[in-house]
Parts: sequence; structure tokens; C-alpha cells
Amino acid sequence: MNRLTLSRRRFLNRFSMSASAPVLLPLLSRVTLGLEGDTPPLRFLFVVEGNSVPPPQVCPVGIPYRGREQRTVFTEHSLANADLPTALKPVEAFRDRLTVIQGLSGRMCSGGHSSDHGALGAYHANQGRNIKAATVDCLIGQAHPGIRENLVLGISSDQDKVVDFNCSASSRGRSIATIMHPSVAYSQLFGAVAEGAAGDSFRARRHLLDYMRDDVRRARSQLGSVEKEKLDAYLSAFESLGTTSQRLIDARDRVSQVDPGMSDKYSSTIETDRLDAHFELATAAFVGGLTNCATIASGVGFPNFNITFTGLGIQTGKHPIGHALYNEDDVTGWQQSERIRAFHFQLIARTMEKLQTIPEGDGSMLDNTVIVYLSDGAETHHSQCFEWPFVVLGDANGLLRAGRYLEFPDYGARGHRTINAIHETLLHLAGVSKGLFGTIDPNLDEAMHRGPLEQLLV
Amino acid sequence: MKSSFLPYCVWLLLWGLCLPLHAVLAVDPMVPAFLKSYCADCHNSATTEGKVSLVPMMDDSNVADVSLLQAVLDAVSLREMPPEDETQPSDSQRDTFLAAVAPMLREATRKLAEKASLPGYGNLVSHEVLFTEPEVRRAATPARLWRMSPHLFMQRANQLTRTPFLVPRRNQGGDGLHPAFAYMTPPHSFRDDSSQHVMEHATTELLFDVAWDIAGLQVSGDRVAKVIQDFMDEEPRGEVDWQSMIRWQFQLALHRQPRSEEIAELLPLVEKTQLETGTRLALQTLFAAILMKPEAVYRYEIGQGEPDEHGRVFLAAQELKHAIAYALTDLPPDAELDQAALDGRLANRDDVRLQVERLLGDFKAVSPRLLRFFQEYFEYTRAPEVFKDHRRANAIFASERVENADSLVLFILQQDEQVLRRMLTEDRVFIENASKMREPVERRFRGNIHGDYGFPEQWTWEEQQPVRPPLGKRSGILTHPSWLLAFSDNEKNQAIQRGMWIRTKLLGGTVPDTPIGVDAKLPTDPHLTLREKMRQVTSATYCWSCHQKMDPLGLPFEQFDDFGAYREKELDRPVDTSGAIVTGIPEIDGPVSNPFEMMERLAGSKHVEQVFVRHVFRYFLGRNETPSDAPTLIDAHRIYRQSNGSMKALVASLLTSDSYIYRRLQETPAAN
Repeated sequence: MNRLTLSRRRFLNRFSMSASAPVLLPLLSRVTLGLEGDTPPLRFLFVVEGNSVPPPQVCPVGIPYRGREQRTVFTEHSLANADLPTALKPVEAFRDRLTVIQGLSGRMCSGGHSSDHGALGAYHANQGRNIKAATVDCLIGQAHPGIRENLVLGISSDQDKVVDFNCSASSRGRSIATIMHPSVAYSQLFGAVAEGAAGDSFRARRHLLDYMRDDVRRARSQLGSVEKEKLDAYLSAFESLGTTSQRLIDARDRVSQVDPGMSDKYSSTIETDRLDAHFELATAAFVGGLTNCATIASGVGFPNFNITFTGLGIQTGKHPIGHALYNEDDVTGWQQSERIRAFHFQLIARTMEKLQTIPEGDGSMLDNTVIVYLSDGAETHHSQCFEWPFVVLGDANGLLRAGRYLEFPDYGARGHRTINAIHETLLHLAGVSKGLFGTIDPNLDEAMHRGPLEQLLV
Repeated sequence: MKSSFLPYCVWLLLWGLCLPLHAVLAVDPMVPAFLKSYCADCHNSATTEGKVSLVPMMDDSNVADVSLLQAVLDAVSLREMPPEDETQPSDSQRDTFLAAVAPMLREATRKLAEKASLPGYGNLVSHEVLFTEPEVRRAATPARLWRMSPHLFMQRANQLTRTPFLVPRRNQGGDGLHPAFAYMTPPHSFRDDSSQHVMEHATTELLFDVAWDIAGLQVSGDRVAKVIQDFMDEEPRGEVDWQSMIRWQFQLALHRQPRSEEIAELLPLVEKTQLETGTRLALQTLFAAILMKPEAVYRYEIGQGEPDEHGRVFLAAQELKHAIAYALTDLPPDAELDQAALDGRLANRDDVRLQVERLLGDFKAVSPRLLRFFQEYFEYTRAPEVFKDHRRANAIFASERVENADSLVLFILQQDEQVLRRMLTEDRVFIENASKMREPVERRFRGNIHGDYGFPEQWTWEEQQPVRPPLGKRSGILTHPSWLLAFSDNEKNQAIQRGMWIRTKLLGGTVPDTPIGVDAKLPTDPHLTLREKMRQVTSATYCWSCHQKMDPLGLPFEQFDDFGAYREKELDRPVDTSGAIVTGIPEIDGPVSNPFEMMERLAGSKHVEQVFVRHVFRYFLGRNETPSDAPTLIDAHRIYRQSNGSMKALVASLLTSDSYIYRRLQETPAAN
């Protein structure tokens, strides 16, 4: 177990005596949570990488990789002594919190380059035409909001794209914005605090929000029933912005302490910088209580995923890399894909390290955080979603039996399970279980979709 | 029981005719039980008397075919079924069955009508109903708020800031469309649909920021208007001065003067903000507040006055001037429209026609909106999204292809004769001078794209355009290298998607969504042509029921390779370009030997013209057509024909139609 062993009492004693106390006071409240017997809600970070994760890339070297047709029964392997593959090497220090899950299918999402909201929704959104319901990240965020319910950040091959609606949905038909520019996301999260909560601009904007709320109310009463839903949504947005603004004022000390500051990488055009900045923002948002559920959509959707990771010295876009994955004569594509994936896990590891240093309750913030890594498009470049690898980091404060490599039986075989079931497992952890999440694959038994996955739980 | 059904049945019959489709329903179990007892003997999978099988309704009681349900209801209620010589249900059983079917039909009809209003599903409404003169003409659009398009917002932002605040950046991915007003319409449909876009939390947050930025530039940017500068320099400032600023921003942003109560509502905001933060921020706050008023974010189309006998009201002058300007341009109403509204010269159809025809006379002003219709209709602007890997020359010059297609569309539009026919049959192309082609990285692989257009590699560019390619043949946009590329993928033509485009956008048909359980994958055998590969996969009975609607329409384009180059051979064999049109419409049905024959036949079809008119309606009205719009469509098609295929005449007809100028406060089934 590679955990921070600093007890909460030692932490309190150490910092309450030090000069750092004023700076760290907001963080002390996390420690006192444990002292007072309160349990903070679990935090969830979803990392959705565009296009596919070929299943062998997340199979440890010491464990023989078996293609899906060979998986007839559920099997598990300990990761205690396993040699993690290139892609997962960066999280080696957290192997006891690591769970690799192979063999879940997601045929209800249809497949292709992207599942288009399907990865987190477990449904076929038909290229955005038919967003059937809230995605798992939004359901969790709505159940346990911080200052915000959800934070969805991402990068795209189109560097000019500020926002896209490509990954998460708050309800049926309602995709929520993925903020693609870290500078814009920074401004939304920390802008008010950065310029000083008591600043003139902040106050003026508060007045503006109040006016807008009243103005939309007036318009709504004048129009009666005409397009009531549209004005209700507009009003609700201003009310929500007002609430967020008020929460920011109330929490300004805490939030200002975690403000990462807007460095050059926030406005960088290099994809690794932008991704790095997003992870930094998501981590800070967790620590500052800005949200309890963040999603990082790294090139999710078509054609967003065709990012060229020049920051890693790669000059080929992910689209041609996807095509080159299975070129037996040239492993370049495969290796590039592994390096890109490893970079994502490097950033995940950094977030975990940060959270591990912050005491919370009886342990650290990391104990109360679950990180779920998955691809947007299942198992291969032009996927059919017969299998969908998942990597989970964290033991959900002892609720998950981590440190294992799990293989579920092949599509349709007895014991086979779908991505609905793992999402249902996450909802179960968050205390908002639905029993059956998403839509079902009509070729499978309904029971294969139901969660939670008992094999994951303690 | 039966008598209470009759008026309802009339209404259902209408919708039943319009929507012969399936819906997933909550079903009373007695319905399949009744069918099994009294209908199954004749209408089972083996014995389909009258070509009617009730097996799906008996086996899967959650799925009901509306028209079939309607037919069953009619037959049972009129005692036509079961036949006299068969076992009869009791009166009580018959009534119970009818009572159970009624809510099913009601629910199915509601669901299907709802679906038919969604972008991409407009073809669900019966073509026949839409082109049949109704007993009473009462077309109108439901009163609505139509979110501003990002194109309109771009112009407004630039105008207010007096800077190129939001601009398209050629070849850099930036299109100048602000994400607060992002298009969220699904693919293959017109983007600016009035029902699709709502300012919710995420977009409102972005709007709040950009409105604040725009107001900031208005107040303290590099190009502050003199009237604002004078206001800032003036000391002391009184309420009258602030009122003048409110009026100034209202006029600029909303093209109207504020009402006294609106001024009264804004003054406390100004006063409070000025007191706490100073004049500059108070003015910025004021300007931003006006920029975010619901009326600035949504186009109001409510109408005013007393409703006519059909419950319709005429659009208010303030609404009409915006509706006309935004239909034809991305700009706010011009001075003439403003003045016409002020003078009461937007009070009837003739007034509207005068303004519409005036604007249509200025081709430069209206061409961006007209061009965008054809871009979204044909979808050739998707060409740059197509991925081709390095196994072959990766020089697709996608932007040039799109620009060349734009040039062809504008050329045809400018001449404004037989517009649809020429879009489908024009055998000349515009092609950019190779030396001016951008994307130098691509030029390393390939000097130019002459070959894809049908010109020899060393062809000397001709300034006089369009030009007729000497190699092979072309027939309008569907054989243009931009469209052919847009409907291709990394290694092959997308024959199925091409067929689907023709099925939906020229023939007005529908194709169901891909079933979830389908595991379709073309064989990879390099010795097989695409047609041969498809035959192996889609010819199975289950697949062919849908693919017969697409494959025979898409395969004639095998005349071209997946870069759009004309070819006569594929895999060293003569390329098979045969196909077929199967619609049930005699004028167009039958086999075709190549894409040129197919295009010629489609271009001469009245039905295809009518489907085209339906699509033009959707683009300019911002919604799908409903049965009550039949008179609008009939008139528009007639005028299109009478004007020798003039796009301007067609658009003018639509913009002066009842559907465009009348609003109905509540859409009721009876109105349909």
C-alpha cells in the first residue's frame, strides 16, 4: 500500500502551528470532516480518450492476453506483481488502487470512430440526434454538486474550437458543453476569484446577473405560455449562474487558495499543454470543492479525435494512427498510440499524487476519489463495441476491491456484462443507483446490463 | 362506444395517412389477445390475406404500425372483420377491443407527430398530403422564439464592437461562430432549426462572458463610438444622459427604441452599479444587459392583433422586419426595413413581398444565405472532414473543392433559371488555378487535383469559367469532386450514404436508423469491387428491406473513384454503374445505367422538384412542414415552375406565404 500515512491529527497539529496556517485553513475543513464523523461524497474523474483503446494495450505484461473469443468464464489476476504495460506504467505507484476491466460490451452504442455520448451514456445517440438520457458523470454530479454540478473539459483537433457538445449530457436531449480552451475554463472557475472577489468588475457582473434574472422573469410573464420552456431554461441558467456566483463568494477563500494561476499552457496551442492544463484545473476544482465530478474529454467525437500529439514528438494525427494500429509490418502506430495513452496516465498519476497529499477524514482526498479511464469508441479504430476496456483507479474508500485485472466472458456468453453495468456500479458507489442504466442491447439478456458488478465490489 | 370514436377516427385517419410508421407503445394485453383469437388464422406469417400480416402486432405488443392499427380499427368497428363466415367476437369483446386500441392510436399518433417535427425526420409527413389542396387554407407557424444563429451573432458582435471581433479564419478552422450560439442540430439537417436551440446553463454562461466582453469593447476598446466617448467625457452626467445611452444601445442591438418601462427598469441597475464601481463599468453593465435581453438572444415571432377565423395573427412589424432580414441575410434589418416598419408599411402580404423582392434583387446581399442553403442541402462542405491516409496521395485539397462547388452554385443562382435541374445536371465545373491552390504540405504529394475534375495533369488553367472537363463527364453537384469526396471514406466510396442522400433529399423518402444488433462489415478482399462486397453483406433479406432503398441509388456513382475522378474501369474491369430508382412513381422509376441517366431523370421529375421545395421550406421557415402547410408548398412549387425554376421566386413565395407571416398561438390537432 503506497498511501500517505500522515494522520489527520498530526496534520492538524503540524499546520495549525505553522505559518502556513492561514493559507491552508480551508483545507483543514476537509480534515475536520473526518473528526466530526461526516463522510464527504466520493469524487469522480472521468477521463474519456477519443477513438479506441485496443484491449492488449492495458493488459499487464505478466498476464497472458486472451482475445475475447477465448474468454469463456470470468477470471481475475492480481496486479501485485504484474509488470504494467507501457500505457499504464505512469500509475505503477498506485497499482494497489488499479483495476483493469476487459470484456464489457457496449453494442447499444453502435460503434464507429466515436460513440458520441454513448461512452458515458450507454446508448446510441445517433450522432447527437438522439441523446436519450443523462450520462453517468452528470447523474453523479447532480447528486453531489460542489459549487458546480459538473465540470467537462476537453481538447479537440480543431484548436479554435472553444466548446463542443460531444461527451456528456445532463438530461434527455441536453448535451452539456465541453470547454475546449483551458483559458476559458480557468476564467469560468477562477476568474472571479482571480480578479478579486471584492473587485469592481465582479460586483458589476453580480448586479448584471441579478438584473438578467428579473428581466427574463418579466419577459416570461409577458409571453405567457409561448415557448415557456425556452425562457424557463434561460431564467434557470441565470439563477444557476447567480447561485454559482454566490457560492464562489462564500467559498472565495477556499477557492482562491487552490487557484492554479493561469500560466502559458492555458493559452498554448500544443495539445499536451492544453490537456495538462485541464487536468490541473480538474484537480484544483476537486480540492477547492468547485465540483465533485469532472470529465476530461480528450479528443472525444468525430473529427475532434484526430489530434496530433506534437508535444510528445509525434507528427501523426490520431486518425492515421488509428488506421495504423493493426499494421503488422510497422509497429509505429501502435507505439505512438501507447505513448499517447501513457501521457494520459501520467497526468492521471499527477492528479492522484496531488490528492494523496491532502488529508481528508481518516485518510487523503485520494481515498474518496475514483478515476475512470475509458475510450470514446470502444476497442478499435472503427469499432463495433464488442468489448470496451475500462481502467479504474481508486478503491472508493474501501468499497472497491482494487489491484486486479478482470476479464469478463465474451459477448453473449454466460456471465458476460455490458458497460451499462459498470456505469451502474459507479452510480451505486455514488449512492444514486438506478438498477438499470442506459439502453439495452436487444441481443443480450437484460440481466447482463444490470449492475452493480459484484466482482468489483468488496 | 363506437359513435364516440367517429370524429376521432377522422382525425386519426388524416395522421394515419401522413405517418405510416411504427411507434413503441404501452399496450393493453387484450389487443394482441383479440388479434390472435379472431385475426391470426388469415393474417399470420404464412397466410397474409390481403397482404396484411398482423404477426408483429401479435408477437411484440409494444410495437404498433399506425396505419395498420388504423386499418384494423376501421375494419373491426365497421364490422368488416372478422369476415362473416369466421368466428365473431361478441359485441362486448368488440367494444372492449376498440376501447383498448383508441389510446394506442392516440399515443402512436402523438409520438410520430412529435418525431416528424424533429430535424432530420421531416420526410415522415406524407408527401401526398402536403401537395393536396386542403378544404380550407389556414397555414401558420406556431408562435415561437427562434434563437439567433451564430452567423447573426457574429455580425452583431462585429457591428457593436466596430472591430472584427468574431471572424471566419480561412483554413485555420475558425469559422467565427461563437459557441454560445453553437448549432446543435443533428447531421444531414438544416442547422438553424427554430426548435433545437435553447439558451441553457452552459451556453448562457458563455453568452454572459462574451456579452460582457463586447460591452467592454464598446466602452473602452480601440474604436469606441464618438457618442460613447462624449458620454464618458461629459461631467456631470444626469439621468437624461443615461437614458440616451439606453436608447442608443437599444437601437443598435435591437433595432427599436425602448419603452418607458424598459428605461425605468434599467436605470436602477445603472445607478447601483455606478455608485459601487464607477461610470465605465456601469455603462458596460448596461450595454451587456441589453445585449442579453431575451429579445436580443431569441427572435420573437409571436404576432399581434386580433386572431382571424383560424386563430392566426399577423407578425408584428418589429418582428416582420427581423424575420425578413434574417431569412435573406445575416445582417440586421436595413434602413429601408426599419423605416417601413416605423411607417406602417409592413402590414400585409403585399408590403412583405415588396421588401422581400427588394432584398432578393441585391444578389450580393442575399447570396451568403442562399449559398448556405445549398451547402447544407448537398452537404459537400463536409469534404474537409474526410480522412484519407498516406497509402495514397493524401492531397485532397478539400477547401478548394468546396470553394469550387460554391462557385458553381453561385453561378447557377445568379442565372436563376432551372436552378434545381442545373444543380443536378450541369456538366461544367469551376476549378481553381493550380498555382493558387493552398495547402503546400499536400502539394508535396500531388501537384493539383486536375485529374479528379476530369482534366489532364498538365492542363493549362483557363480563366473563363466554368469549363467542361475533357475527360469523362459530370452532371451537377452529385458528381462534383467535393460531393463525391464528402461521401467517401478512407478507402472507398460511401455508396450507401450517397443512396441515402438521394432517397431522403431528392425522393423525400425515409430510411430507418441502423438497427442496434446489426454487425455489418464489408469483406476486405482486394479483388472484389465495392458493389460485390456490398452484395455479400446487404443482400440478405433482413438487410435488403432497408438497403434496397439506398444501394441501387448510390451505386451508379461508382463511375467515380473515392477522390471523385471519373473512371471507366475498376480493378481492371469495366466499372458497373448500373442502379435503379424504385419509388412507386412511374415518371422516375426504373433501372439506370449510369449516374448521368439517373440525374437526368431525377432532374426532370415533378416529384423531385416538390421534395426540393419541402427542403427549401425547412431552411427558410426553420422547421419541418406539417399538413397545414400544404397550401404554402403547393403555391411555392407552382411559382417555381411558372418562373422557369427561379430560386428567388421560390423563396419569395415562401416568405410571403401564410406559413411565414402568420402565427398561431396554440397548435391544435384540428388545425392540422
